[in-house]
Amino acid sequence: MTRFLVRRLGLLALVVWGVVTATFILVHATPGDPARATLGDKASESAVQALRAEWGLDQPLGVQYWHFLMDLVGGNLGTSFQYRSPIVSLLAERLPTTLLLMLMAVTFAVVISLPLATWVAVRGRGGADIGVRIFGAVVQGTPAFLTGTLLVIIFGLKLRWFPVGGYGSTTAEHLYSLVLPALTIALGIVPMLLNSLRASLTDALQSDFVAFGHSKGLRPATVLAAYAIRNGSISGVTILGIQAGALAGGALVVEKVFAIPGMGSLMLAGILGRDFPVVQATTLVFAGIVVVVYLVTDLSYALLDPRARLA
Amino acid sequence: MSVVSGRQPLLKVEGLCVDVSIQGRDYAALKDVSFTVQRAEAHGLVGESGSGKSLALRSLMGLLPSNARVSGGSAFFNGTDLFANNGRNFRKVRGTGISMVFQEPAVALNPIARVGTQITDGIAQRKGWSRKQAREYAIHMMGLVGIPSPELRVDAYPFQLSGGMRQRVMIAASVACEPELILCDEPTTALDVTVQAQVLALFDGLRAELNAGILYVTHDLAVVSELCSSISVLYAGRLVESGSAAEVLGNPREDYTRALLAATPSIDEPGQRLRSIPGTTPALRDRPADYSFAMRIADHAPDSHSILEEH
Amino acid sequence: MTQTLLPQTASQAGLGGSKPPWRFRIRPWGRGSNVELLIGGVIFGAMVLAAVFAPLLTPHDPTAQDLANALSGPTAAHPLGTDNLGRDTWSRLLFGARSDLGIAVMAVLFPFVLGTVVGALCGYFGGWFDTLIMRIADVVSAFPFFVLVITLVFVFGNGPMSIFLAISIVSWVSYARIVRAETLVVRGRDFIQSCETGGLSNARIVIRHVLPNTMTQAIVFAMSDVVSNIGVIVTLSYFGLGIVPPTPDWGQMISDGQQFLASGNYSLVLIPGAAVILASLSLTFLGDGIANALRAKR
Repeated sequence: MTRFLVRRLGLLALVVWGVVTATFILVHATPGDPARATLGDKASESAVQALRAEWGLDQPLGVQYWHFLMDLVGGNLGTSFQYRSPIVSLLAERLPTTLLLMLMAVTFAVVISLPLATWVAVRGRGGADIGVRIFGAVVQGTPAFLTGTLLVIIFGLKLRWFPVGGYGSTTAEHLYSLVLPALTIALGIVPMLLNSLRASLTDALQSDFVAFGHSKGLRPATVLAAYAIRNGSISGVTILGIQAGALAGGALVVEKVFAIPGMGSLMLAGILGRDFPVVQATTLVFAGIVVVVYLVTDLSYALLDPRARLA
Repeated sequence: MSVVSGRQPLLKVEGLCVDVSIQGRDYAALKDVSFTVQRAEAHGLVGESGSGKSLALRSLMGLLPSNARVSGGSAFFNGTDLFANNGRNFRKVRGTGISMVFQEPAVALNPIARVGTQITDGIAQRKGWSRKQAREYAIHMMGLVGIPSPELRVDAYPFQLSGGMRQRVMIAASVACEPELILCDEPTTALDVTVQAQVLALFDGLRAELNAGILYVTHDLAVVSELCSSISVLYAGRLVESGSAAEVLGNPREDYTRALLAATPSIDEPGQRLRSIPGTTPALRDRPADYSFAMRIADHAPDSHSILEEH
Repeated sequence: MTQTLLPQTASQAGLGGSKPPWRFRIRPWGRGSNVELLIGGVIFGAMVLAAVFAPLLTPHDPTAQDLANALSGPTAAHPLGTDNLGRDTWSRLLFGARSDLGIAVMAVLFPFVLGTVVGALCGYFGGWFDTLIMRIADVVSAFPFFVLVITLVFVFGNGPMSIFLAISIVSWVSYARIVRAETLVVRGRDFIQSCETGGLSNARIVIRHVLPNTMTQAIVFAMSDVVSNIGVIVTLSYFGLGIVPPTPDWGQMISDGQQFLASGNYSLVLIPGAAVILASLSLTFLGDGIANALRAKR
């Protein structure tokens, strides 16, 4: 387990360094000039020069890279041009919202996929199977902003079960406002998760170890849960890991659709307001979230499957 | 046919028919198969792959694959027809009445559950045991089937044990509830020869100790001659010959039994050249409904003469 | 063999293999008939034709405003009604198909070629080149797809060129991984090894023997990639970062229409929304159909 962890962490450290460097290259080494882009075409040359000096863009690339790394290590993500405040404090307000949204989305995705997959796997080929496949294909082909908009029309405007946007002010209101956004993200992950779970559950149900479980006279529900689902759902963890990017990207999109003050809407505000430091920092943090989700799925995989943990 | 006894037989299978559906068509995989297993007796069900012997075994456990079904006949266990009552009778006898040892412990044990748990989950559920009680019983059972230092191995996972140890775990699980009938599906094919002999001795001991009947499915007549007192020979889904082990092995009436015998390595005459039976049993969908061994011999006439003439 | 730390596609993780996530095995017209190909081909074909011949099929200029007839329902002159500026929804829908579908299909080409070549080289030669490329791929896939695309569009500026560039930088990775994995399989086969001992040059082996054998999966993936590109383009435009007005596009149409949802006018969102879903769905069917056909051919 320790060796597994060390190797995993080592590889992740490499990726994190790559992500940081890629972000740096993206912002500093691309043809465009961040200062000019931020201030717009109409700004005077002297103002642009002043901003370049403020951001250290007038120094050689190597020096800039060094400062960039040192600032990151020191927890300094720069200062927002728009908000005129440290980005770290902006993130402190907004990151928890985004994380809560992603957590709810994963929960919904699992709560939707696992029972559906089990149902279809137990029923076998037929109407249920075809219905679930068509559902998956439709959901898969609908971009998150459209899914969100359709959910707003149905559950917000027609049925009036959930708010059409906003975030409320109490914890209960937060959770209530996040239901539709989280459902939107979840639906983006469900097709792949459902498909993988259905395949692995079908395999598990036909396996000898499920027959062995029955042969011992265990209750069918016990065999289904302890033998079939426990084995069949391991693949789902891998899928959740693969979908970490879709999860984070989904958060970015639905925060805009539902006007939720999270990191995604911060990033989009940064993009529309040409706020380079904010874009740079949010890109980095989004990638960081994905890397952490990868690590978490790896660890849960090891927890669920002793072969990964002990072999 | 079988030994006449004043008591009711433990298992009496009469006219068993099993159909397998392949691409929407039904094929008769077992036709009119009858045999009897007495208490404290081991009965060998012998045949090559494709003979339907494993299907026969699984039908007695109610664990046929989803494309197979019992289409006729009865199986009286202690006087109750297992096939009656819409499958509910199986639930009552599994574990306590009838248990099963699978061919490949590597795939029949739940890969992500500890072996101790798998030995006792059936009995623990039935008797409402605590985890600790179950664990102690698991250690006891592991000792009984000859697993050295069971207290060290009780918490292991299947992949951490050798093939022989895994099969002993499987056996321990199948006898944990002291069943009256143990179904064995070629349980020694995956083991090497020395381990095979130990496992056979173990079955023989359990038969005597638990006063249990054993239905032993195999293609290996050497194994049958060591363990079983009566034999049924299956070919292409039909019973070709049955009787006491001494009769059938000593004085086979059917060509097929003779061919099987000739293809079995002899324990008494080591060094004798082994003969294989020409051809194979054709797949279910490729053989006529009345397929017989004579037809196979006719198809492979030149190389089959020698076997049949020598006996 | 390089270990892949961060998987990005399902086929990568060995889940589903060459199969796209949703496959339909309905065969009402006997064995071998390919319903997916038929349904997907007809619908998507019709959409492409409608896009290509949009000027002939539309009575109005998609950008022509007619404030007197704003927000009208379906009429003889405006079969799908008009938006808040009185622009004809039907015309905007067809011209929107031009931009969205056109860019989505075009944006597949470059990553397809780049990823395929790089993946084949990685799989064939291995070594430090493979390690380096796969690490870069890991880094690219550590960024959420959308976040990276949006950041790239931000860096390069709005418009189709940026979308091409952004999608290319991100999605070559999937092709590279698929083709690399396939190449490793193909490499192990006897006929490649006999080519090597037969003294064929590496370049020749890769181009003549390895690539053709690995294309099936890449082509199948490309179909699902077009679907994903449509999603990206429409989403970017919805955010105001993609196709720039006045060029019509479905994402903008949905974004524009959203402000009228509260007043009960859903059609301005639902019509372009249905177009997006129909395009994606028909492409998914088409992709499945092509996958079936290619599998059958093998």
